[in-house]
Amino acid sequence: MTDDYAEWLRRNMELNKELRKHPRRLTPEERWLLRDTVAPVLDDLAATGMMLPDILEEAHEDRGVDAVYGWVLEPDGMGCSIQILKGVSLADQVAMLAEQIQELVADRLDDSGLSIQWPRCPEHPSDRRHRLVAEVREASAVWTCLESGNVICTIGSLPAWRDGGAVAW
Amino acid sequence: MSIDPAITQTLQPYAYANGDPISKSDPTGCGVCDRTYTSANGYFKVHFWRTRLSGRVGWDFRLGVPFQAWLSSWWMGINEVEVTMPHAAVNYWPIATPYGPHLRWIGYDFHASLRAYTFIRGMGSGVIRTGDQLSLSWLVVGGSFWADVEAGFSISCSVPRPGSGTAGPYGPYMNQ
Repeated sequence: MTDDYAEWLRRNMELNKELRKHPRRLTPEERWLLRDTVAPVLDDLAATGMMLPDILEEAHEDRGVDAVYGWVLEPDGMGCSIQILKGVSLADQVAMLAEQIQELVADRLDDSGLSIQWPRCPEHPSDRRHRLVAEVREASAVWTCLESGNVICTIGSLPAWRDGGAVAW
Repeated sequence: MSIDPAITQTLQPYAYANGDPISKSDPTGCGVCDRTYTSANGYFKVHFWRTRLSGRVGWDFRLGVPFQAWLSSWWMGINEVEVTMPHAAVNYWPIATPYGPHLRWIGYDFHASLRAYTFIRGMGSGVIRTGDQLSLSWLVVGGSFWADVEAGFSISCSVPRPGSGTAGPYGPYMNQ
């Protein structure tokens, strides 16, 4: 570890300590990026009967890259940070965010005693080990089946179905 | 498969696998990311695996029972903590940490996985490969009316072949 990096790390940890205590409100540009990126994933959650997460437009962290952060607030007062990298395509941003939301959904489903596979793979509906994977194909953010590699649909256009019952956030 | 980052000392590009990078990965080095590591005081446990199809390195991080007991004792009164990852590196090059702050109860299984990464300060990006040396650090922060706690744990291990280790915390599904 170089002295330069050690110094950067020390400053970054100080900054994050401050952000933990006093989260930073997002700028208008950051808010629009967060909303544009989150919208398709929220559409898919709604289409599949999931409750929508409460996403606060504030940064609780800084990971040292050019990114926009949000905070997913949960009803019990817990929460976690989500990150959207700047400088990549909107498709990449949506796919990366969809992956993060998938993990949060898995947590909530698991807490509710439900199967954690969201979104369920229509090609393998009975396989409990299997869920769709967010990827970028031909400049579009899509849900794919990891086993077959097939594109199921673009993120934001999941067909409406009840995916194991409503989950409270 | 990647060249040993310690090549300048060993002059052997695949020393981590005894010259056999196809079937082995770091049998003698500072550990392979396919098992559970526990801190000497039992305060932290990290379990690693590598997914079969997507090649992600998965990890889950838990506070050990002694640490949980101490935090939740009447004199500490801490029942929830925020876990972050202040430092992460691939082959000793710092990357943007792949884990944001998670505020959870102290018995929570903090987990994530890593495949693609971005070097900090605009130095490009990459994808995890077998034999890469992965360094991760966790910071646990908690507080109550009476006390504040900050504690950390770090692990450096080499990335095993896809399908290595036992998936967790949600069982087989995590091995996709």
